[in-house]
Amino acid sequence: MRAFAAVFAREVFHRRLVFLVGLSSGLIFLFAAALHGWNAPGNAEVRLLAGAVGGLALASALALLYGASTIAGETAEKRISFYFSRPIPSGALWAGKLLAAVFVSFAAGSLVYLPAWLTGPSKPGGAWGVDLTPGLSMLLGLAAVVTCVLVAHALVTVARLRSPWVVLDFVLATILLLVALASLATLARHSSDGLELQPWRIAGWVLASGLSLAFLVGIALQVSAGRTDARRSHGAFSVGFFGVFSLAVAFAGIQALWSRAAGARDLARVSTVEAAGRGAWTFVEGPISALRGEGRFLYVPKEGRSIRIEGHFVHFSEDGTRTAWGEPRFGFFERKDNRLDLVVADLATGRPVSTGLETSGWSDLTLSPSGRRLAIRTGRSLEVYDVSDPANPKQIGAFPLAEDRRAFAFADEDTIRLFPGLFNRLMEFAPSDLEITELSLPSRKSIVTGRFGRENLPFLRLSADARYFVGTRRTTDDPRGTQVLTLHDGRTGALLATLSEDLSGAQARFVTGNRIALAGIAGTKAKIGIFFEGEEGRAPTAGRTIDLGPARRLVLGGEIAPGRVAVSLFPLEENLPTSARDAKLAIVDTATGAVFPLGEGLAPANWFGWWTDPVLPPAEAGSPASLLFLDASGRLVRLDPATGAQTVLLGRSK
Amino acid sequence: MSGERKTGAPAEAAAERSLPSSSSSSLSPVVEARDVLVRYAGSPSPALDGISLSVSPGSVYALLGRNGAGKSSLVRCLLGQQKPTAGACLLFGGDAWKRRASLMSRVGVVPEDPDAPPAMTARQLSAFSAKLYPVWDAPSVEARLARFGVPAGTPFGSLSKGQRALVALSLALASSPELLVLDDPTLGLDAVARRAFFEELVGELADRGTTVFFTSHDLAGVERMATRVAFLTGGRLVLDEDLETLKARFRRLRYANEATEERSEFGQELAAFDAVRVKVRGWGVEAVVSNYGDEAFARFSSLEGVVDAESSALSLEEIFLAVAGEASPGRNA
Repeated sequence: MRAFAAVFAREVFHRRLVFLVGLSSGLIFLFAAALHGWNAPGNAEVRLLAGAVGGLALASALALLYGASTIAGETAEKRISFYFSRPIPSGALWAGKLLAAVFVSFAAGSLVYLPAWLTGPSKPGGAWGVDLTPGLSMLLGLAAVVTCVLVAHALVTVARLRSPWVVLDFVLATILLLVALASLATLARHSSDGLELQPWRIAGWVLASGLSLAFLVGIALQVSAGRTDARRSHGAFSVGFFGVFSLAVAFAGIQALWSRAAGARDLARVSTVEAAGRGAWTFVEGPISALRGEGRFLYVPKEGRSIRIEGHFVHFSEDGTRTAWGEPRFGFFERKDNRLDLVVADLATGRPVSTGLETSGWSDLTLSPSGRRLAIRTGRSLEVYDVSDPANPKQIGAFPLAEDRRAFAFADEDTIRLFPGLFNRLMEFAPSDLEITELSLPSRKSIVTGRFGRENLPFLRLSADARYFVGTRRTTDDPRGTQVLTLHDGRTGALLATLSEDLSGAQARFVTGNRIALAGIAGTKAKIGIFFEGEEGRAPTAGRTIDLGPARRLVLGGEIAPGRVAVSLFPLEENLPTSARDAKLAIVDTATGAVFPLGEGLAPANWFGWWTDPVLPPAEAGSPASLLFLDASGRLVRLDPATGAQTVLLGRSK
Repeated sequence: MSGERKTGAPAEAAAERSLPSSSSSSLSPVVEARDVLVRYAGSPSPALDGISLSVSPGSVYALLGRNGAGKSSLVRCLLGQQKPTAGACLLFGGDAWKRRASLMSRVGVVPEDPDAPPAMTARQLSAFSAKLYPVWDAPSVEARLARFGVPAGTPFGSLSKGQRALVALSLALASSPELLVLDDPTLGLDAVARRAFFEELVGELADRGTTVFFTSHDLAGVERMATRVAFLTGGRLVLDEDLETLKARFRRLRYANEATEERSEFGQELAAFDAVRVKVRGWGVEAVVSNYGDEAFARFSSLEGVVDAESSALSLEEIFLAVAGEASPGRNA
């Protein structure tokens, strides 16, 4: 301790003049500001900012100078032996010199800031968007000083000691920097707003801490093992620095690889499920862990197989054989632009193939029923491609569509239908937004087949067989208010029937046996109504109405078995965990009206793209889409419709 | 001043401090090198190749060698400033590399290039050092500097090389060290400064009997002070013995040889003396031998054909030149 104090005191005493420089600079700033009127508006803030910037500049400059001349500089000039030929432990020399460099730089900078601070506003505010609280300014200044001292020292060690290690330094530094950046970039892609701690931040903190520690260990080794030998000194620094920093980089690299290697089974909970109406595949999304971030996967519940993708939404073909999605383009940390690279996966092989096409939004694409044709809205036109070979898409049609905001879907392989989508009543409509337009691929013609009125425009979804539009229209601006659910002709939009007028949260599902199940909340009770589809162009006929008991919210699931639909009843209107835990799951037989309670805490996982997909999926009893449920912990559960047995597929219990 | 606080009877304090070690180390060396190997990256041959030596208490050990022989490397190893590639250096029986800091409190060092921070004055250097040593005689530093005529208030970097060496010596002696290590301290000094340096050193030795390990090119100075001498050549220690023995062993012989007229056969009669250098001149033979003895010389003088044989003593410089020249790669080749 005595040796440390002697070294520290000598270094500080030797540089004592900079304190005078700091204080003089601070006073000069003060007088310069006073020339413009001491009490002029904003003068106090300007003084504070000038003091902070000036202090930071002086502190950083001194830190660079001292960092460059301390230890490494003395070794290069063969003056370090003075200390080593005296009873000074290496640790005391290391700590005494480094701390003195930091202290003198920081203190000199603080003296620049001090006069402005003492005469500054009683409650420091901001100036030009910069928060100037003294504590924050001091902390930033100290961080800058420490960084400058360490970096300058490292650079001088590499540059002036001139050992062959310099080649290895550059190679290692380049490799480690690239690995660190690549790891951070990978982790940034897997970050999610839903996570309390972002994985790239964890890696960032580890890298920053590792870098600081690497500098300190490197310099400590340089002093203790290198001593007066310049080459050995450089070597010791490099070994210490790269040894510690490579550990931090290895952590970030392993974290990134671990994050990349995540499969659907690693999901902590499932937040989104989309499923093909037919076929075995689903799309699942959710957080994995703080270290690994978030994951999005194509997932086969039966096999447990999964493929990681970057797209946030996927579009399945009606037959469930193909899926398409847009992969965001990334710069280093964030989305490079708003374009998405289109990827198509043949679900028989599960292999995603980039098409080389692009789009600007996840809802600007749709697949044909067979999945072999892909329609994309580019902003100026709607382009249709044959993606039988996804790697070599062939354009088979292009229809000019300027500023068009309508939803679109394939009515069949050769026909695309555009219709009003998710419009708010208050939005400004273009006349064409209210039209139903049919695009014919063989004839390359577009025909307006129907039109809606501005006042009663519903949100439309096309049935999978394109025979119907199911329309949903709020009667008030209150999102919890009642909705009018209507059935329209799938080509002209002509109203066929009003299915309900007094239900809130109403949802409809096509069921085996040409039935339509309609569920919603009437007052404080849930009920489900059954309708029978009519002949072509004819109105459906109303069947029975089944009361399901008290509920404030419900989710209508899929057709879990022929004619039987799942429905979950929630005690609260809000989507809260307590409400999810108390949710009651029941199976309703649409043929007999029988209700079979299946326990609590489960809700249908797949909402059948109620807000995202313009096509209402077909009846497909027993499809994965209908058998998957989420529990209150976000676990994905498969329900056996015959026995009621539950199998947890994904997610961890809390 | 801290120096004044610690001034009281430094010689007695040093003696008191050295009591335990002197009693236990009356036979154990103060400085010891054991098979020291130093190899630098990129150099085909080692700088030090298996050096072993020991310096007993109270002796003045001079390490001689040509430029690049490895003297400074060995000094750095002995001071714990450089780690040998192999082998060990011991000071007072402790590993110099591992226990450098504690061992340095018993050692005074004068480096080849005085290395103190250039902005510090001799007075500030003294005050700084006073905080590091258990004993520090600040007045003695001032007194010595006054004697040398070196200003104590001038920054070290502004002093001449000779003045810096004298400041370094003053600082090295102020802690009453048990061991003084001097790495060619008079290199580049003029005759006056060199004289002042050695006089101070000799006086110190006379006062305290401090053990001294030093390297030097000033062979006259070495001859005045050293009790033991070692020659380092090409990283190897080719000679290590007491100065008196060395000077008795090395002699110059002159004689005429009437037994043969073949020049290639001249000098063969010197086999018993281990001739280091033989020169055939017009009048006869001049040789430097390394194994001289009076009896052997009497026998040699009576050999048939050896005429007018005479022997004379060699200066240390002549011995050094003979040995260094003999061991140099060019001569050997």
